[in-house]
Amino acid sequence: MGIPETTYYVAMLLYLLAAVTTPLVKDPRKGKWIVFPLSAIASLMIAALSLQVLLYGKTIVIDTGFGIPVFRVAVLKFTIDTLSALFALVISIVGFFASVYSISYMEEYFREGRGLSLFGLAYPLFIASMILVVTVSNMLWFLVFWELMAITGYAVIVYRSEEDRARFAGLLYFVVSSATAVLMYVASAILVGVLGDYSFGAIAAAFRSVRSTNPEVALIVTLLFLIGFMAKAGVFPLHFWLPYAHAECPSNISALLSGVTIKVAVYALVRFVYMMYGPDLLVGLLIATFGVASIVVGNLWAVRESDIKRLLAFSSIGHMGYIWLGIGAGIALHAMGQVVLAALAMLGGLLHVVNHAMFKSTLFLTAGAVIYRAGTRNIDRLGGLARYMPYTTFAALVGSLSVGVPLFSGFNSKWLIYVSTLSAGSVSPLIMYYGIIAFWMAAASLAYAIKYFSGCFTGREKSHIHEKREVPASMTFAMVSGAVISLFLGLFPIVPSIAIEKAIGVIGLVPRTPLLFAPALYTMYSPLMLAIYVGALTLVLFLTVAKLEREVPVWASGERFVPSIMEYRVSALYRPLEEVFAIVKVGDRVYSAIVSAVRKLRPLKEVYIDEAIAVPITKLSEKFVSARARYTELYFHVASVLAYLALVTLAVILLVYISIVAGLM
Amino acid sequence: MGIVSFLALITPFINIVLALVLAPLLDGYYRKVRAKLQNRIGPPITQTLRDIIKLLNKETLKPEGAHRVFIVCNVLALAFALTASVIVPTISPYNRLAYIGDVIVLFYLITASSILTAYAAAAIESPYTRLGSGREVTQVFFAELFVAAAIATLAVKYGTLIVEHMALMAINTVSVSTILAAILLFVALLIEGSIIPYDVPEAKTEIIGGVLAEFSGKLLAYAEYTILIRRFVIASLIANLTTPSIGNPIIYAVLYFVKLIVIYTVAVVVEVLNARYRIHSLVDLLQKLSILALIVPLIAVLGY
Repeated sequence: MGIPETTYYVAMLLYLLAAVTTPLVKDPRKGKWIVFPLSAIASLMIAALSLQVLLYGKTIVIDTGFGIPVFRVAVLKFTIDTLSALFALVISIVGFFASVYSISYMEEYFREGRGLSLFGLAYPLFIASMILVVTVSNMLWFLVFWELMAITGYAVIVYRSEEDRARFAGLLYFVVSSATAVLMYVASAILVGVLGDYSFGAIAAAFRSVRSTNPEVALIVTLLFLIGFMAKAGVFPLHFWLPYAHAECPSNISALLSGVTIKVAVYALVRFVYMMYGPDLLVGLLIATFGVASIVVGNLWAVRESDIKRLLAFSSIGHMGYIWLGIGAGIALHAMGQVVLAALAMLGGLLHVVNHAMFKSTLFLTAGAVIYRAGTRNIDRLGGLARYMPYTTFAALVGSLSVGVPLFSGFNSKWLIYVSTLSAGSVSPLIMYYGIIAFWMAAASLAYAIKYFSGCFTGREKSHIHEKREVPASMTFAMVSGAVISLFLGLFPIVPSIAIEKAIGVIGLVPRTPLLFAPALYTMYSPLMLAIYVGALTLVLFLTVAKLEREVPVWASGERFVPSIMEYRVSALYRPLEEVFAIVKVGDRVYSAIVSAVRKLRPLKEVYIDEAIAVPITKLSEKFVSARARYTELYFHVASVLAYLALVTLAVILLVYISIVAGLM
Repeated sequence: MGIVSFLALITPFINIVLALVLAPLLDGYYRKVRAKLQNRIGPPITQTLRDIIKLLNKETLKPEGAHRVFIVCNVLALAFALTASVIVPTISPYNRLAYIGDVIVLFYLITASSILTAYAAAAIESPYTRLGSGREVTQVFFAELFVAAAIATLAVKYGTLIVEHMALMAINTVSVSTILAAILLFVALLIEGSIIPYDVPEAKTEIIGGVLAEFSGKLLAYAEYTILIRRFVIASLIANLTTPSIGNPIIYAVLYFVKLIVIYTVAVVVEVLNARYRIHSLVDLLQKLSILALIVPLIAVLGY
């Protein structure tokens, strides 16, 4: 066993160790020193491993030799190629920062008397499952880890399970993710039935043979997979669970969910489309269409939000749209033979995966810090935190500018998407129009960035602030590091671009990196030179006004400024803009109907359906545990998670059985 | 040294001078023409420049509660606008520094400068600046659509996004779609340059300067400069990317100044003939215009 394999195993064992031992420790203040440091170390190990794969371009194959007994078709095998490594790297870096941040951040919840038992169990497994999903190369295990990710994600989302809002967020998440996972089971079963083998290679071969004999079945399989990925990615029209789930969980979890969990679906999308189809015009356009719809929905709704975490969550939907647009346009343009534009679009999409992962997780961490001190998520009750929290302010400013101001990371990837789509007018007017809409809606993303930043950090202090000082060191370390990495990505996009070029090499599409000085075919842009000019000018100008000695009261056109009467709330900034689009009004109606329909899924008096699935098993197992443990919320949730895992395992074994029987026929 | 590389070398330096001196002078011209149209005598052409110089020498006050962000964003806004003015094609289509960014980057520098002004304005509690900030962003939101449609149209027409190449292509291009693109960019000019009927964020008579209400001294001068340079950059882009010209360097430069004067004159006429919109009717109007804007790239795709 070589060093890479050992690293991988050790990292996974560390996650497992953290998951197993933390619930055994009664005092969460001690337990946190097990779960978070172990997760951070394991994440660093995975990051190092992925970096090695990306640097040397050598695929690592880890064959555990472990399969489901009787059916020797599903051997657990990991293949870490450059595409896997890219996503594993992003996941592990965000995982590292979220874990470091959590060490101090979770204190907030310990103060309220919450423990770490279930959270400590689920948190490391959640990170591990994402890494497992992007590295595994076997359909059956892919589905198993996909479910593990879903269920551990569920467990961390409902951490504040006594609050109905958190439980409802968990319910929405659970319903959408299990309903769409079932569709993926069906699709896999159809494909596995053809060759009776679960390896990715066999699945791809099976798909191609189905496609040549039964194109309708192939289309159905594609749609089933696509729906599964869309739901996990939070792409319109299956995005409605996301603002609830990403807002109601603790902020370190929001950072993981918005930063990387939705990206796992992007990985699956790229991997599956290129594995099964290769470039295909229809599939590409379909993906791009959903992408554009998400851009519109995510951005327009984010502008209206006055809850900071929901605002950031809607923004994630919008940015996910950019990623899907880039990837979809890349696939479609590739199919049309426009290799350069295709490569630019694909590069833009994947670069946005990296950039968005960094700046959005940073933004969610800053939101966590804001709530940690001010105790509210309502943007109108926040303000003036810049005075006490300089590091958080810095991270939030960088993060909010990163959504799309030149020199900052998000602009680079968006720019690539604009370039590739806006130049595509002569080959595909549709893609050009998608580009126009994407360019247009980017202005909305700048609008909510201003809203978030100025609402939280500048202006007058409104809410009661627990302690008027910066948040603890582990939190500032994570936020500032995230912001610094974002700055780096903004100025040196060439570094992630090289990694992405290698990753795209896996799917047979290698672009020339256009961010170099070398004159390119369509376009050019040099962030570093731009930074030098803007930076020099800014410095000179700043020095002239750096020392303003006289501070004067707000002028307010000479009237006596009375904040309580004259205040213009941040939530009202874009009122004229908010109601103009008919789509917003229609969308509100449709989605409030869907959400309230899900809310009605309460079969028992006070228990949601996700909890209800577990109730019979919970009742059964109650006989085996002490009366004291029985009445805790925690016990209930552990049981529900275990029950669900049991159901999934059962389903998977059934799936194996059905597909093998079908294959023999 | 050939004439092309010589022009490419000096254009960035000339651009800086044009942005710092010509942009205020053009505003002076603008005010003069407006005064004439309104039967007034009006200030001398150098008035805007003198105002700015005077403001630069005045004391800059720090509004209560203004964080450093307020100052940084304000300064950054001017830096973005100035950088845009360096790489925009002016007296010649050639520019040694054009590799800094293509036409998308160029427009984004302008947008970013508006957005950063809004950042600075939202950082102060004053109701007027906050109101102005929200309006600024609302307007920029619509301006972006016009810009996007214009870029797509020009990209179809010229087959490139590099500003230098586009300017060269424009010299010999006369077509329906480029003229329509010029109109789209003109709307963007009115919006980004805060010209009536689109001066809603400043709206001196309604919200007392809006975004600028709490700026003073140097910061006010910088903010005024930012707006003037934004106007200048977009006007230059209209002049050199959407209208034909003549390849001879001297005639090209002369034609450029003539075009600038024409664009500013049209803007004055529009201003004098219109009143400022209320923010709600503005949003309604822009929404209707956006549908028209979306048709323009299609005309280019069809080959006109």
